[in-house]
Amino acid sequence: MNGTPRSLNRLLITLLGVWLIAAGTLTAAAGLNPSIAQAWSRTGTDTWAWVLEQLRSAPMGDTGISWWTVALVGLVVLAILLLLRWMFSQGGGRSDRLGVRSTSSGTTTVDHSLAARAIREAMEGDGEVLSLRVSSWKIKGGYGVQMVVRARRGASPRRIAATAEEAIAGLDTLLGELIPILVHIRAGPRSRSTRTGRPR
Amino acid sequence: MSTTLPARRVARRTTHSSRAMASVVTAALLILVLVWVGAETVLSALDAPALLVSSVEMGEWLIAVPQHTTSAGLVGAGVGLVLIGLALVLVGILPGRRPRHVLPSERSAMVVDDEVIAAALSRAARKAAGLLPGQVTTAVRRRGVDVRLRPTSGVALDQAAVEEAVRHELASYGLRPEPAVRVHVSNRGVVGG
Repeated sequence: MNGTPRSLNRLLITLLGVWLIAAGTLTAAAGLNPSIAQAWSRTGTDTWAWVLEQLRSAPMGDTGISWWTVALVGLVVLAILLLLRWMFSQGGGRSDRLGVRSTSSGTTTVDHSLAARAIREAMEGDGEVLSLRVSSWKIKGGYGVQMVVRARRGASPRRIAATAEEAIAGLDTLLGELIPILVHIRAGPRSRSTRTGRPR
Repeated sequence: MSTTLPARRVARRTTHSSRAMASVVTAALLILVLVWVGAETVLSALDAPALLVSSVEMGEWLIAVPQHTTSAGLVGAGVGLVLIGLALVLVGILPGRRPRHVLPSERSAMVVDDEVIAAALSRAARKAAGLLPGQVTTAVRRRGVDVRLRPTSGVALDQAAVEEAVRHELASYGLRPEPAVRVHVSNRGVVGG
């Protein structure tokens, strides 16, 4: 339910992969075909000469440093900042409120703890539920609630789902509005087995 | 299936990997490389000693790679790069399904771990066959369920009844598509089970 930018993740990872495949193909080709190796060095030498010429053509006063070097360093810093932003955009979006409504007479904020308490109280009686974690998230187009239900070993997921639906119906009445809800039924910590989906 | 669009989206996000881990690792490695390149560039511009190699040496090395590397080395390095690239492309393109199923719900997104389904089916099979917990193992995959029974030595086991019980339990979950149930009975029994 978090705000991880999934499409961006896949796009950037794929782009880097394609780039590595291209670079690897070129390297391997240079190993197999001497004329490609020659072309590599020739193009490289020409490009390097051109780069040095450009560097000399834009000196920064008499410091001996080229404006192009400054621009390159700026570009690298920008790229690093963008990468950091990408890195820290993973998994965010947790919220301590569930909704805000502004009218002419004031603003009403629905706090996360309201939903958490309502759901918790409604699920408390179910002996098949080992533990319950309720969290609120900011999602596309508003707020959403995530319920992680730890089921007792062997409990029927259908029955737990029914209890959860009842709790949600209570919350709907309380809020008077249908907010998106995710119920995730998981195995309890003690019934965790080494192989996924295969308890002993 | 869930009727509301946000619920369907949220359910899909829970049953598929977000590629957050791969992204963090990729970003961290790229940042390391860029920090190094940036630092070397600044140092060579200031005529200060390089950390490892100056950016001028880096450029000259890159041009001369085909000369100072054997062709076998070039092919090996190239194949290595292609393999890493291929792995990244696959991470980017494959759906990355998690071992989870979606339960039908009118109101919300209802996702259950396959582990929970397996435990519930094991219990149904155990009840139908009158076995102890250690005698039933269930594996749940996206399209199939395998129930393995180790009967008690000398006690007949009604396989059809077990299959019926497991099917009935599974049908009550309303999974789409419904996994096919297979019940295997081990021919080696448990003594005193």
